[in-house]
Amino acid sequence: MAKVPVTVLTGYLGAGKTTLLNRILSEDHGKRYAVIVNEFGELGIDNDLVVGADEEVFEMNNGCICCTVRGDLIRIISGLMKRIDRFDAVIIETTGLADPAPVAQTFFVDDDVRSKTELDAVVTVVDAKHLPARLDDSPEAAEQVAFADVVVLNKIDLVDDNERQALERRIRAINPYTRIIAANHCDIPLEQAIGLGAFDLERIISLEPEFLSEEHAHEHDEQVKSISLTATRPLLPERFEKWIAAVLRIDGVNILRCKGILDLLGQERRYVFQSVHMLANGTATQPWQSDEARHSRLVFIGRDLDADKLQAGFDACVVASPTSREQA
Amino acid sequence: MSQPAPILEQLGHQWQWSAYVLSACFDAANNLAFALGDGSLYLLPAGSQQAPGRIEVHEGVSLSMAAAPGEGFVSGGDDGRFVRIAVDGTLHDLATFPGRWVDHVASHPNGVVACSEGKRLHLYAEGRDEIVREFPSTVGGICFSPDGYRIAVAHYGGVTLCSARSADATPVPLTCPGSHLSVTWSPNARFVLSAMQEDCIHGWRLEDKDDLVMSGYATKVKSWSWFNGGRYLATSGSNCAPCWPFKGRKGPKGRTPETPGDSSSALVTAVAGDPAHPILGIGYDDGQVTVADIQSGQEVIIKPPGDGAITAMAWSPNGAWLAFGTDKGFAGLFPVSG
Repeated sequence: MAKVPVTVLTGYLGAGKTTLLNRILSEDHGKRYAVIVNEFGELGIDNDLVVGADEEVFEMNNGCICCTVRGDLIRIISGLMKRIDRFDAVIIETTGLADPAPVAQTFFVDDDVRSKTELDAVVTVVDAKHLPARLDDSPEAAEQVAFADVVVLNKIDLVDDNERQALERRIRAINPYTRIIAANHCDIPLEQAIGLGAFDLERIISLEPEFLSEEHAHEHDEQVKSISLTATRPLLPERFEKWIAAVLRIDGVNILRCKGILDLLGQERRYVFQSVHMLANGTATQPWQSDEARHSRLVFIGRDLDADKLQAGFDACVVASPTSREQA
Repeated sequence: MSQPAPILEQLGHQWQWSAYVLSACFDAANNLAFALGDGSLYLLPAGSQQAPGRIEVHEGVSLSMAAAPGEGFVSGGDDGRFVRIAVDGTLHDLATFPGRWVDHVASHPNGVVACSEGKRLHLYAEGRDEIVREFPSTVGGICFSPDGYRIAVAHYGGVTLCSARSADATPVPLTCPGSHLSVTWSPNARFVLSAMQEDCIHGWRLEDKDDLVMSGYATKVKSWSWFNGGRYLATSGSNCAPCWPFKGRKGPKGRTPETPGDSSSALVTAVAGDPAHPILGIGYDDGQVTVADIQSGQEVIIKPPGDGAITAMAWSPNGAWLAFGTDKGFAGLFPVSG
C-alpha cells in the first residue's frame, strides 16, 4: 500500500499559515486530508478531518541529545492509519516558534509512522516584509527556512523588486534546495505545496542543479548556511559511511539537514542520503543512466559549519584515480 | 495434489469484515468482541453458533477496548466517547469528551472503570463521584492493580500509581526517562511494567522500586499477555515471542526468557496465552498464527500466512478459545481446550 504523504506547515505567527490552512480545508480540490492543528480556531471543515495536537516534544532515551520527537504525532498518526477511510495526505501545522526538527525526526524514528506515512515536504510560510527582521532576531526563523522544501514568500506585494531579489538570495544562502513561491494571501496552487514528493531529493536536485554549484553572493553573513560538496569520481562506500557517521555524531547538533545523491564505487544505482541532525537514512534508488555524468553531490545546512573540514573529509572518501571503477 | 484445509477452517470459525481489527477481547463470562477500524464492534455471545453480530459504536475508530466489570465491554473512540456495550448490543455512554480522543480504557471486576483522553485520567465507580487526574504529558496506557485499589498510568518520563478510590491520596511516581506507551501490572501485584518507545520494557519491583529492563526487541512491544497462572509475560515485538518468567521474588532479573515461535521471516505482532497453562497463541505480521506449548516446545500452525498482519489476539478466561484478527479485517476463533 502506498504511504500517505505528510506535509509539515511551518511559519511565524502572522506570516499567513492559517490562510494557507484554510485554503487547503475549504477549496474544492476533491482530496481528503487529515489536518493536525494546534488550535481549532476558525477552521472550516467539510470533507476533512481535523485533529488537535498537543505539540509534545520528547527526548528519545537513546543517548542522542538532539534526538527529539513529537510523541503526540506518533499517537495521532497511528490512530489515523487504523481508520477505514484513507486520506490523500496528512497536513501537520506547527506553532510559529516551533523547531521543525522534532516533527521531521518523528518520521525517521518511529517504525509505525515510517511504515504508513512519509514526509513529503516541509512548507514554510514567510512574510516578505518581515522576514529579514525575523532572520536577524530569531534562530527559529532561519531553522524554518533551513528545513523548508518549499518557501511561500507571502505578502509579496508589500516589497519591491530589489527587496524581493535580496530576499530570495538570502533564502538561497540558507537553503539552496528550497523552492521559492511568491504569493499574496497564500494564493499558490495547492499542488505546489501538497503531494510534491519533495523529499524525493532526486527530483529536486535534478531539477535545480545550478544551486549546487553556483556560488551565492550574499550581503548577510547568515548563521544558518549551506555547504555544497561535489565529486566527479566515485566514493568509497565504507569510507563515506564511516566519515558521515562521525560527522553527524560529532556535529549533528549543528547540522540541521544534510541531503545528497552519491555515486558509490561498485554500485550501479544512485545512493540517496538524507539526515536531520544525527538521524540519517540512505537508500539506493534508480540506476545511473549511461549518458549522464555520475557526480556525487552532498549539501549540509546548519550552523557553524567548517567548510574546509567537511570538504577535506569528503574528498578523502573519493577514489584516488579515475580508473578505480574498472578495477572494482 | 490439493492441500488439506487449514486447521482453523476445519475446527474453528473465520470471518472476513471490511475494516482493520483493532482489538479482540473476552469478558469474564467468555463473551467475545472484536473492535474494528470503522467504529463498529462484532459481538459473539458465549456458546453462540451464529456469526458475530455487528454493532455501530463509534463514528471514527475504537482506540481501546476492555471487558466491562461483570459482562459486556467498554470502548473509547476518536469520537470522544467512552461507551459501555452490553452483550445484547445496547450502548450506554459513560462519558463524552467532545473534540478529544479517548485513547485508553480499563476496568476491574470490582466495578470501577477508567479512561484517558489526552493528559487526563477519569475514574468512574457506582455510587462514587468521578475522579479526574491530570498528568504532565499524554497518558500512554492505564492498568488496574490486581486488587483494583490502584491504577497505573504510563506517560512520558515513567509510570504513576494512583488510588482508584480517592482523589486525595498521594500518587507514587516510578520514573524512567523516555516515552512510556503502555503499562501492565503483574497478577501477583509485585511488578509494574511499561512498554517504551525505545523498543524495550521497563519494570519496577514495587516492594523496593528495583528497576528491570527487558530489551532486545526489534520494534515496540504492542501486545503482551500474562499466562500460565501469571508465571509468564509473553510479548510481541521480535521474531519470536519472548516469555519472561515472573515466578519468585526476583522476577525475570538475571534470567533469560523462553523464546517460542521463532521465525526467520516474520515478526510477532500479537500474543495471548492460556490463563492456566503454559500454552501461548502467537500471531505474526505475515498473518500466520501458531499455538506453542512453551514447556514441550511443541508448536502447531493453526492459520497459514495471508489475510493481513495479526493485530489483535485474546484467549478466553475459561481457556477454551483463541480469538484473533488482522489489519485487513480477517477474524478467527479457534478451540484450544484439551
